[in-house]
Amino acid sequence: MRRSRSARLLPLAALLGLAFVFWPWLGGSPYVVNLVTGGVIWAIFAVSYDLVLGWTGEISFGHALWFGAGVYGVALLVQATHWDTLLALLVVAVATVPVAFVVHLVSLRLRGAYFAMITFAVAEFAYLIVQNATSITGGTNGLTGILLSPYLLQPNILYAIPAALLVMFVLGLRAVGRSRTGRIVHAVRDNPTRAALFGHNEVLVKGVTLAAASALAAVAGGLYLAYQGMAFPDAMNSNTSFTVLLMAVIGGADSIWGPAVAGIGLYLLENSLTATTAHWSLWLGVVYVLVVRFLPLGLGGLRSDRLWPWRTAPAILQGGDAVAADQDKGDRG
Amino acid sequence: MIVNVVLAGISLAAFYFVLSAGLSLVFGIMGVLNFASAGYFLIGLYASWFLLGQHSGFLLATLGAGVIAGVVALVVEYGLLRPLYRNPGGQLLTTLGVMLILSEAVNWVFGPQIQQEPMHGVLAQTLPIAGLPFPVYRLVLIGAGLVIYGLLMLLMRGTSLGLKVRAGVESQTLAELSGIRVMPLRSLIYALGGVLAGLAGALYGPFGGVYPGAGTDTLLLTFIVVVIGGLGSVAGTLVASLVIGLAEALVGFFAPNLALTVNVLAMIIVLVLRPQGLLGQAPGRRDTHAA
Repeated sequence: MRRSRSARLLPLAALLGLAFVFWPWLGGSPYVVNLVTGGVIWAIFAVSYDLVLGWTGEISFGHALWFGAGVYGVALLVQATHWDTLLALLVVAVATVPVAFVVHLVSLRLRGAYFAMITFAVAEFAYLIVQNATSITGGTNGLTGILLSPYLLQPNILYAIPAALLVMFVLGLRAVGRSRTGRIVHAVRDNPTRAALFGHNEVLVKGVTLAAASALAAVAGGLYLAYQGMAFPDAMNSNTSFTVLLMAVIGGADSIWGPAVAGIGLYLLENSLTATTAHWSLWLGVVYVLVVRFLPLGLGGLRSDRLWPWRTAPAILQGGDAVAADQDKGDRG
Repeated sequence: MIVNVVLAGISLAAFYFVLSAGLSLVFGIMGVLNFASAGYFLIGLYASWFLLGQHSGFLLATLGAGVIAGVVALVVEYGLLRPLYRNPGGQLLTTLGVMLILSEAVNWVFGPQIQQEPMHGVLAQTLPIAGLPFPVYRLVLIGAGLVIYGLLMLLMRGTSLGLKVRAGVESQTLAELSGIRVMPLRSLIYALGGVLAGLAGALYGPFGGVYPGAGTDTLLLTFIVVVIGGLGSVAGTLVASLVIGLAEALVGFFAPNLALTVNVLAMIIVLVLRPQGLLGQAPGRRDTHAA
């Protein structure tokens, strides 16, 4: 039943995807196209955080580290080699995977609040290094005058590349989420002990998922560099980590399209509202706290219960007995 | 010279202790990493600045700041955290939201500019120590840190309330089975955490400045101290504060840019090698399941 329905919806989805990528050619003003580009890049970043919170059930306060790795990785690589920007982006994203995997193997020795803290500390450490390694990163002055590939100077193309990637990531991750691999990741998230009994190592599964999430964040960071044309340490400070977390939670952890929509929507709201109401982050914080309290699955949760009944919130967001049992386990230690 | 640097380090340590003790206690009893602490810090900072501007005197301004921050914390615990009692992830995410809301609210009400803390009389003076002028205020910080440490130890070790809190930290389930009502204790400790953060904010103003970013600026240091000391341990927090304060003063004396980096690195190493901290007991290590 589901299969036939999604088969019927496929042409519509393809049409929507194409429209999403190519609408600027139907007559969008360069200003609007440029604004939406920023939103799409943040959406990719938010989707990558969804893998952290939604798929592994861990809370990271240092996801900006991998966004920053993309920003600075691409900037330094282009500066050193004069490669095509997208080629550099690909290289950086691939290189991020093993690095992030090793870093997360260490972080994953800890759980819960301790995991949150070590991600925060590692990201802050990297941020301090980037700020102080003036000869390489330019310190707080950042890196400017990066030689980007000429086609990126056309607003429509600069938009279409992230937009196409976002569509690809959302569809691809949804497919992975429903596949056997995705079920294993979710099983490990919901009950690591039981999953271990079936032969799935928690640290390994989560480490791979987090490495993938980091690579996606690096892609978002590289695109952000192409969008801004320069690299600043702010890209990897704690505020960036907090912002992407807020976007993903409001969009809905474990719903891939939720964070994508929230990423674009919140970015556009912020950039159209800050001109009129100066206290955007206050309202964002209020909405976020209310979502955590009343809508633990976020925007994405509004529909997902009906459409994908097997899907549940990560225990860490849901509370309940799984978490209580986990606490008791801590008590014993 | 070195005497002054060490004294400066100890005064920093006293401040870090006040800043972090509440966070550590709250984690101990609630298992919540309380980001909102940075918000209560900010409330205390601006409350004392406002009260000093009304010529309230330093002591009254500081105590008032603690009370105001504590009341805000109590409201947050009752309205936002208690409903998420069985949901530590949700509580953690909520405290982050509270921090962002309080920071922005302060920014809205008082503006983004750095305010001058009105300090008068002996507090604004310096004393000659080892031939160099040393700010009296830094000695006041050391005194405040000692007093607050003494009161906290008295509360935790010398009263039945402290005994219950320690039982709750040890094992909430066992404490409840022994007839201790843990819920009111959680509210109380959370409010106490707010009071301590507020006091820290009041103490920060005269040497750190009064500005809306102060909360997030000190957040990282709080985490460093509680991690190294061990979450939930007051004595551990004191030891870690001394280590970090002295390290910052000494490293900062020779290489100002490196101090924070060195401290963050120390935090990472402690988290990896000894997640329970120097004196803590809370286990943070993931149970590893062999495949």
